[in-house]
Amino acid sequence: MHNKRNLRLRSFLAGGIRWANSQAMCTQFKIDILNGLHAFGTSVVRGATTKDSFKLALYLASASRGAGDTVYNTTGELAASGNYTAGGNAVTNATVPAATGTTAFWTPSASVSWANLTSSGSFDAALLYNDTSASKLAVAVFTFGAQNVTAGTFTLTMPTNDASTGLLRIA
Amino acid sequence: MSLINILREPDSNGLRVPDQVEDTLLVKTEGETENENERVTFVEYRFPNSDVIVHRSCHLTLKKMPIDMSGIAQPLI
Repeated sequence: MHNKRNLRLRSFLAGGIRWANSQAMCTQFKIDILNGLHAFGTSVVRGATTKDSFKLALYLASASRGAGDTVYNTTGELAASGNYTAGGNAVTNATVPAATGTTAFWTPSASVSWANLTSSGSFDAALLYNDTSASKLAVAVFTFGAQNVTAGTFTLTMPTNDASTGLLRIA
Repeated sequence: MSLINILREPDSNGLRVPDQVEDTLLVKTEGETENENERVTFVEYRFPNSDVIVHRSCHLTLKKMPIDMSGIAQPLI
């Protein structure tokens, strides 16, 4: 009787606590990617350990920016007139990459704004790129409903910085 | 009363000149659109009896960008 109870207990433990490996991309790796800690290909000599500067540039609705972009591109960007400067505006980066669950994320910590802007046409996209890198490496293209601005202010407010809405998410 | 930055209506050469005008002289229109990805609020000014927008400001709030990078590891076969 006693042995049977021990046998059942051992069977329960064997089935109830199952040790198993699980295939996954490590969450810390996702954060490390956002922090530039890995280089699987030829990398660059970084001049400092400080974070890079990033910019947002605005593009006409007629442009063709997208996943194929490798660097900041002036083709289709708003004309450098009407108070728009080629290359766009800097983004504020006061929040380090983080993770919730298994999703790493990062979002600029403030809105990006253009004052007294007159856009050279209807625009519907913004390119986030690395302004510190020599070649201005592209990060992501974000599209939105086409807008025109006339002698006014265009403000782009960022989404909530979390695992489900952050601007950059590695899920 | 406040001064609004405007672009004057096109002249005979099609040129639009920057200027400032008291808001009481303009007709103001405000609007808002929203979908699952963004919320947009805008304000437009026109001169009375004109369709030409002489000022338009826009505030676009990104709610959720429909892109992410899937980090699912591929099985080794």
